[in-house]
Amino acid sequence: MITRFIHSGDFHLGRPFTFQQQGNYFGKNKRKELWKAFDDMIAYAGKEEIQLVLIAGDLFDSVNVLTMDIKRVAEAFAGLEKTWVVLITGNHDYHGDNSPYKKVDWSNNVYIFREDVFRSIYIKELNTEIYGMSWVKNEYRAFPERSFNSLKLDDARYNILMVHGEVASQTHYLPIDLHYIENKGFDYIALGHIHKPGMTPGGAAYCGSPVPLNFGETGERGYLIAKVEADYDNNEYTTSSGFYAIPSRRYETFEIQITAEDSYNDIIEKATSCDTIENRLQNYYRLRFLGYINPEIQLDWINDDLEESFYYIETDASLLEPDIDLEKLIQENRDNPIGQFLEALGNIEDTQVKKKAIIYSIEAMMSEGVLK
Amino acid sequence: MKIKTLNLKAFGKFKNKTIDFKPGLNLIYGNNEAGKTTVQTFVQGMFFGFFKPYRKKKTYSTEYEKYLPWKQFDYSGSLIYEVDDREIRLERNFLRGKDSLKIFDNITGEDISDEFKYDGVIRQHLPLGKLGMTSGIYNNTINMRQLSSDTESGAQDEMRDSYLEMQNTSGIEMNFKGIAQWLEEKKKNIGRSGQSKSRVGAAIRERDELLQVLKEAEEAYAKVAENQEKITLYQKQMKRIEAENDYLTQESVVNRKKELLESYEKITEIEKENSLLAEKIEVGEGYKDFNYKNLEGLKAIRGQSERFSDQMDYIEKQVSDSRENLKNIRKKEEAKRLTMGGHTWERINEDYDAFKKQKHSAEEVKNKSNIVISVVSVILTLLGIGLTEISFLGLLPIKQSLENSLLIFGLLLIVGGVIGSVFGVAETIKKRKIKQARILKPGQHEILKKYGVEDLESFETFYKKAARTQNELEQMKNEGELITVQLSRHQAGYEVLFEQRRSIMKELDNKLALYDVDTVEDYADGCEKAQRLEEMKIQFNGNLRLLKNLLETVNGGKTAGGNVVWKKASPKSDELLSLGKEIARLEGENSALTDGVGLPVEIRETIKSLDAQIDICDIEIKACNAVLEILGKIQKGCHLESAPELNDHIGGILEDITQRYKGVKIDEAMKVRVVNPSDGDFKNAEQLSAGTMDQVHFAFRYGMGDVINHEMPFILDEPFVRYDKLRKTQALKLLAGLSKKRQVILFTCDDDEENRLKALGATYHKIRL
Repeated sequence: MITRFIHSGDFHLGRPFTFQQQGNYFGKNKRKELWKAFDDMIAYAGKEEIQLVLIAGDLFDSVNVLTMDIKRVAEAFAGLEKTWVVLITGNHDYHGDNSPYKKVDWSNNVYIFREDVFRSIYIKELNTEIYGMSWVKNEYRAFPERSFNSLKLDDARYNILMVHGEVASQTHYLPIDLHYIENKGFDYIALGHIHKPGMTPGGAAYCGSPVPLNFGETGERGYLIAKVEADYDNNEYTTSSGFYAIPSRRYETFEIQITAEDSYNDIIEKATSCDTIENRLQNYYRLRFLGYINPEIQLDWINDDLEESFYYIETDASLLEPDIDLEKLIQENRDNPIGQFLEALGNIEDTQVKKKAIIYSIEAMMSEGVLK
Repeated sequence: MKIKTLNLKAFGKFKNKTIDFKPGLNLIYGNNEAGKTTVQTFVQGMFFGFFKPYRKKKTYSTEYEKYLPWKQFDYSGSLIYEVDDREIRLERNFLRGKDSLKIFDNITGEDISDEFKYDGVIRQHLPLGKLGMTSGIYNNTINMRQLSSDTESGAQDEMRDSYLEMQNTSGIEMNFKGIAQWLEEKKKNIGRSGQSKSRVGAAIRERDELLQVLKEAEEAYAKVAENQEKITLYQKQMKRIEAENDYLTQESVVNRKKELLESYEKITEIEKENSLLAEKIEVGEGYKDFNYKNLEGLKAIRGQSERFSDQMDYIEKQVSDSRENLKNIRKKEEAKRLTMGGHTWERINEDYDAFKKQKHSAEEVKNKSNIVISVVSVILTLLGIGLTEISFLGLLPIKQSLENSLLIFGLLLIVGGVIGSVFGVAETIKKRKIKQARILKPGQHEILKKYGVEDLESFETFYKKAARTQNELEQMKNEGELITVQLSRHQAGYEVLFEQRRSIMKELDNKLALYDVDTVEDYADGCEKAQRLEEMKIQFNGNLRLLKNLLETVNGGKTAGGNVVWKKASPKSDELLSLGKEIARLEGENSALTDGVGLPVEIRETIKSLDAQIDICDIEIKACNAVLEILGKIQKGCHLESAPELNDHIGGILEDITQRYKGVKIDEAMKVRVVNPSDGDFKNAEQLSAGTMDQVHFAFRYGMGDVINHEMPFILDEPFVRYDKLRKTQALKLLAGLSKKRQVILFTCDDDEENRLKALGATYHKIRL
């Protein structure tokens, strides 16, 4: 009989990461972190003798994931002697010609759904039937309703549904109507794809990604542990889910307000006071500078200067305005080459280039005494 | 415009310090650190505040901090000036957060701030806004500060700035070349971090190399993945084979396998047999229509014909026999006729009748058998006597009863013998009596003679013989006639038979031709073959059924040879070995493929990271290029030539002061060049002495003041430090002249200026700080 199971997914093992610095150093570390999260979960399942682990898609980040990574996963699963592992694929690791799941031999305790219609596997010893569909292509604009409607649940069993998709009506990533699937009477609905963990009162849950994968992914990350209490007389099951947080480096985004009076050192000071030194040397930081900056100050190398104070730092000065009243400058120099020059700068099409061009021009004019 | 009063309420070191100026030349005298520069800066601050120009946000310039009074919460002052017959008072609070400027009509006391231009950034009115005077223009033209640097290039910079300011203000020129150079320099440094040696070019090269590396790595790993897929497949196969092998080596399976193999051997046998049968059947198929019924028919036809032949043979034999008989009969007739001695039967018969009339012919008697009977009777009698005697005497060692029997038998033999002997003797006596009764007559002798016989008896014999012969002849004649009849009948029958046989033979031939055989035997042979064919077919079909059943049993109905089954059923060690080798090979290949090859994912990340750098640099470079392009275009539209009038004017001032240099020119690089009076060439200002440089600078400022603004006071801070006496006097002379038109404020720490002014007879107002 089933008493406890893990609902996880969206590991994105083997994922490439976009960091602006130092080549692949951070990517490597990040991937190690993914593996650590995976290994932790496997270790937990092993130690606690968890009966069932559900992987709700996107275990691998891509169909081109390295063979050694697939082997590593297969070996980890094979090591779980007392645990069933049931797996569906997602939009990242869908079953195609290049399916990663074809590349290795999976142990007998691993069941992988292979079709994009709903099928089920009944695990007798757990009295649990798991219904699921896998992705076999990289896009689903509609939910496979027909196959879903034809499912007939056996109330005496504990019934789980596994789907990798998005609770939305218009999406290329398998739209899910939550009420519709909840009404079917599943005891637990294990969803994957959305990286933010969350549960609904109707028994559906997104496990979320076990570690955050980019700056958009904030908050606690981990996997879900569901406990099942059974009332066999009435064929009723009560499931309660808990979140098991996996410690990992967080992604932090801070807005740093800059004023025209701030010196370069002031800016550095403001940047480094965004968080404690411990946190700064632990997490990924994106600092977004806002406000006005003294045009004589260039932030070109600010990342280099902040590097030592952070584990990872990237800065965004795109919203930072140089403290120059260009219009006024143009106005006052309407009839001379400065005015023409500044006006021409204003006509540069690429806004990023324009912004830089103006900043450089002001800087040049200042250093050449045109503006003082 | 004339500045009348300064009130430094709290500014720098000053507190509530009031300074009054007069129109004309004001000589402000103070020792070092008396606060000359502070006063000069106060004037600037009162007019403009201490803000950076063209900012969107109010930004304090460096002077703000510099003159912020120590430990004071006040930072303010006022300035009264006169312009257009109006006395205006500026009241300014410099203090950050409280900074403000109020503009009053000093006569009426009215706040007239609103009459002035307002700056939204610093949130203050601009007292000199109407004059178009900005802090930049002010500092670069009329406010001549003490030279910040002692170096010649410092002076050069100052001059250039002044010149540029003048030109900008007059809308003539801007320093294209300087800006362009600055941008070129900037461009060079793009992508070059402080310590880091990486540059954008290097980054691009690295990125491009990595793209190639990535391609190779991706290919390698794709191949690895492909190999791995094979490895997994082979491993699965091996597992399956191992499981199969385990299964196949179980005893029951081995036994079953043996059974199967036997079945298959049987199958092979049957198949071989059937294949032979099939060949034979194919060969024998030509006889399939042969059958025994037809054969019986044919045989019947042939039998008929044979019977006809037999009959014909028989008839032929009969004919031949008949002919022979006839011939024999003729011969015998002849012979018989000869026995009658040339006499015909009719004659003989007549003669005999004639003879007979005389004597009846005696009966012929036989006597030969009487003697035999007598001899046998005697022997029997003797044998009976012997037996009787032996039995009676009991000479034989036999039983009494048998002796009695023998005795009786002996007696019976004796009786029989005696009776026989008696009958024989009586017969012989009777024959002798008959012979005695015969007698011959004379006519009879003639007849006897005729026939060559002597007695009647002989004649009798002859006659009888002739009669017999005649009889025989007649018989022969009848016989001959009969045979002749028969012969003709045979000949007729033979012809009929011949015809019938011929037609039957024809029918037979036709029928045999139908089966393409020559003889009935051939057909019979065919029939046998047909029968064997039938048997073979039966066997073949039986075999097929058997095969089907066997295959059904061993192989689920699929036809496959025993070899296949044997192979399938044999533990496959070879295959395992070759799969194992193949896996090892692929693994080896994989390890070789990835040896020293970076992970694509990591290479991609490095590329991305480089791309990010390159993108940023790219934007920066594009920005530089865009600016340079614009500069180029505008530059073409402008005439890069110094205003000759201005140059002449400044040159005149310089000549006045130095009494030597008079030509001045600003070159394309915004460098000031001075005409060397000795050779007439332009001399780079940097080659001049520091004092001369200062004089060139002074000339610039002086000259520009004329060009830019005739109203504003000319403020100078220690301009003559490095002047020689003569030149200083010349400069002071110029200033004294100027002060008649404009207010001049001259800061100095030396009383030499005052002495010289006195000597020049100039009027001045002296203020001591």
